[in-house]
Amino acid sequence: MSISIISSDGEPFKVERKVAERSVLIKNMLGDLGNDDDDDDESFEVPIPNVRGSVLQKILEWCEHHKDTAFPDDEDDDSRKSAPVEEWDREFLRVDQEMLYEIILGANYLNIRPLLDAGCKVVAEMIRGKTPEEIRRTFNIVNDFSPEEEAAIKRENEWAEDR
Amino acid sequence: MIPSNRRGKIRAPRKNLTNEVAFEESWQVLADAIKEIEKKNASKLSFEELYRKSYNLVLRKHGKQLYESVAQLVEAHLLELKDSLNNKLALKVDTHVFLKEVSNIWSDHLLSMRMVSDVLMYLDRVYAKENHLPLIYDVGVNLFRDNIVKYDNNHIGNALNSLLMEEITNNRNGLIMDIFLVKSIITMFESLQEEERNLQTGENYYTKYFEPYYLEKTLEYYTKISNELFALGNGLVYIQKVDTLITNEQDKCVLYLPKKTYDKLISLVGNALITVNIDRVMRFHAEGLRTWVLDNRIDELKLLYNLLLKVDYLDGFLEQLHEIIMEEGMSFDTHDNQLLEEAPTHSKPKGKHSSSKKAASQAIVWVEKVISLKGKYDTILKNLNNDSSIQKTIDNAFVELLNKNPKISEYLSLFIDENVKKSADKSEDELETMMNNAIIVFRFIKDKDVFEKYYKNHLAKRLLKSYKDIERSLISKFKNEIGSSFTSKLEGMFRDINLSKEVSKKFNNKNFEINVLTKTFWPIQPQENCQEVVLAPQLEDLRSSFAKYYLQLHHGRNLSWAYNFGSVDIRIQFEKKIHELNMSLYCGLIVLLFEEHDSLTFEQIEMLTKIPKTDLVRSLQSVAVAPRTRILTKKPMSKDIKPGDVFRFNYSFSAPMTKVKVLTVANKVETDSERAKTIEKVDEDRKYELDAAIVRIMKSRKTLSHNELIVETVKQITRFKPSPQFIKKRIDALLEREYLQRDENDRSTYHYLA
Repeated sequence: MSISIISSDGEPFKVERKVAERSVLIKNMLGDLGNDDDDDDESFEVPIPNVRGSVLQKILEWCEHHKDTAFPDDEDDDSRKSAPVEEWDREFLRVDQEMLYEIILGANYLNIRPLLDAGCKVVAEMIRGKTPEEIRRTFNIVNDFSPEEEAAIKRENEWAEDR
Repeated sequence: MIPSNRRGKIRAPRKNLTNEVAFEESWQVLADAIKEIEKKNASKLSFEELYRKSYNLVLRKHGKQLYESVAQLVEAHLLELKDSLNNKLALKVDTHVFLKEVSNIWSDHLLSMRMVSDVLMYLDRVYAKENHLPLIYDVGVNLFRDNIVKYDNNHIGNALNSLLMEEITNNRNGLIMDIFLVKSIITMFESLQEEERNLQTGENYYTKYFEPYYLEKTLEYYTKISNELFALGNGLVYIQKVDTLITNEQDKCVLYLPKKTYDKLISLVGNALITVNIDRVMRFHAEGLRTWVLDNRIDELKLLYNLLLKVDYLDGFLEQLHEIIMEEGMSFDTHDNQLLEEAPTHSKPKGKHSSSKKAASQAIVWVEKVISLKGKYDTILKNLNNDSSIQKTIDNAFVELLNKNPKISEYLSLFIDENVKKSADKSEDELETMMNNAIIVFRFIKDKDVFEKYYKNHLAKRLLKSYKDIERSLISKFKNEIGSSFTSKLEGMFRDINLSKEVSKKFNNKNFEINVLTKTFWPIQPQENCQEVVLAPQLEDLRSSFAKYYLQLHHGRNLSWAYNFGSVDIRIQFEKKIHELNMSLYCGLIVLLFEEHDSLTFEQIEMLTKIPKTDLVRSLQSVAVAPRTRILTKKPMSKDIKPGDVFRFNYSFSAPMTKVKVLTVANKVETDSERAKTIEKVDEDRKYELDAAIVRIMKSRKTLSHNELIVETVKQITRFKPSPQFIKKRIDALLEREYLQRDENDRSTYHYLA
């Protein structure tokens, strides 16, 4: 059975059920609607009005690549958090920032845990090892601390500084 | 690799969700949808739309509000259901219908909760998890617990308990029960966790409310049945019924009860049906344990045993089994003792001869009965799984039973004696069985040294007559059983016999056979007063020439002569025929006197031969009174030999055969005084053995307390069980003889004196 996933801008994407079920949202939805029969030839339409077509295409590309991957248990937080980003995923996520954030949001909405984790880790790596000033520049954040406040915070967190 | 360099600046994501979500508006859609789901109308809803609604609400921080609203909505729905159930209860609808209704409501509720929680997946994932609250599905289950089952002080819950119990009881009484329905209600109970904080302990509605109630009612039920069955007073009916009841209960419960309860239930039912009454049931006269054991009813015993195993309670059974074995064993024991005691009085005219023979055969019958009794219990044991505790009970009962008979050692020895003598006409298998049986009885004898005494006596007589191969196999069996210390003297006897054969051959006199026996190995001793016996001249020559020959061969040895064990063959020309007479040496000496004398008085014979008086009387009885071998005539013609009787040679003696054997009075069963003498001898030997053991222990340990010494001594003595008093006496004797010395400060400690 194949699934048609329709993006917010009305673009349909035809994928294998197995690929679509990388999204727990779609998986549960199909389950609740009682379409458990794999042999059913009728094609099924799933509207996803929260995701743009170009982003959905990227996400489905990821799903296609990982359709047979066995990911660690959702509940096993430790191994999920400590695992490094896979090389393919890192390459896959080498996109402009806007796309990266939309992929993360889309993964969150569609409930695709491994993709969400990978995206967040890539963002985390952007922060790692940077000074506050660099981070502000990277993420376009305006410094709204007064110099006194900033000095106080630096003092309090001195112990965490890398020396 | 750090991608930041390549990317440069990152812009915040485009806000395509900026439009504020009004909670009420979205919630209304969701609430309607949930109501539709509860009405089983889910199919027309758009899953994605609902998911997106809840997603947006949670994203906009409305999670708490959404979570609580859902709970309220579900609760309201459940309260409606509760009312309808209460109505049904008030109308007293059929039990089955009601249970079915509850079961349906429960499964519908679970189904809607699953769909609701799928739609609210994002709420679960983000809001519930982060705030450590139960997931929506579990909220639904808990609400069901609080608003239906436990609502209003457990109103419906209690009704469910008693209705369920009613179904189960009806089923026990033979009505059909919907097992799947019962099972589904019980599964529901198990799903209703008691308290969130108690999740670890796993306490749920089932374990807290239903299980105790169920077990209590079940106990009541089976206690009643157990008492009803008991009142019937028939053991067979009881155990058969109980077996069926337990099997039924086991088969059924496994279908609907959790494993944990199943084990509790079976032990409870077993206790009510078996443990409580079984000891008294086994004592039933009609069809009780006694009947089954006495009649060898293996099937009933197996059934009983398996029931007892289920409750792991064998104590009462073992106790009664012991009693029954004792009863059965004692019954033929006393019977035989009566025969033994009657025998001499009834057959007095026939003389001591035949009564002792009869007594011996009674002894053999007794041993054979014991063996067959043991065989019977062995069969029972084999059918009862070879249970080690039963085996122990049987063995203990037999030890007690056998040792209650003071003559056991003598009986067993006689049994072996008789069988060995008749061994020629028995097959090897028969002999093997006989020996194994003898060993079985031997194993149960406590005072093995007493047995050794009797066995030595019997063996000595057998060896002097003729030697059979079976003797050796017997000895090796005894050796296997308790070790070589028991058999070393017996083996010495075999050695003597073999050496004597060679010596006789070398001495080279065809008509002379002699046995030279080592005094310490043999139970028979030359009589003190027979060294003076006067031999006929031709015998005296033989004796002295052998003595000379033997002492030449072995310097420094001392030969004493045991004439009382010897025999002679004499050829005599009677009026009709020449007869060859075989008789004891004493008889021979007496007969030979009449070569030179026509008539002799008792006193004259005594003086001429110097045969000890008791032996003389017996020998004269053999040659002058016994009807078939009256070689001498006696005046007066009475049965008793008295001083003053006059004897003459009976030339007119005749017999159908040329060879005639003159029998001397045989000793079979001991008389009481003889037994007392044997026991005395055994006691004497025990003293030496104890002394030796004590000295051995003290020699190696140098210093020991009184109690330690007693313990050690008991450990060393295997052939009998010395009492502490007896050991104490021997210690005193050793103190007196200064082998040991008391410690000066501590009177209960001994030192060894070298």
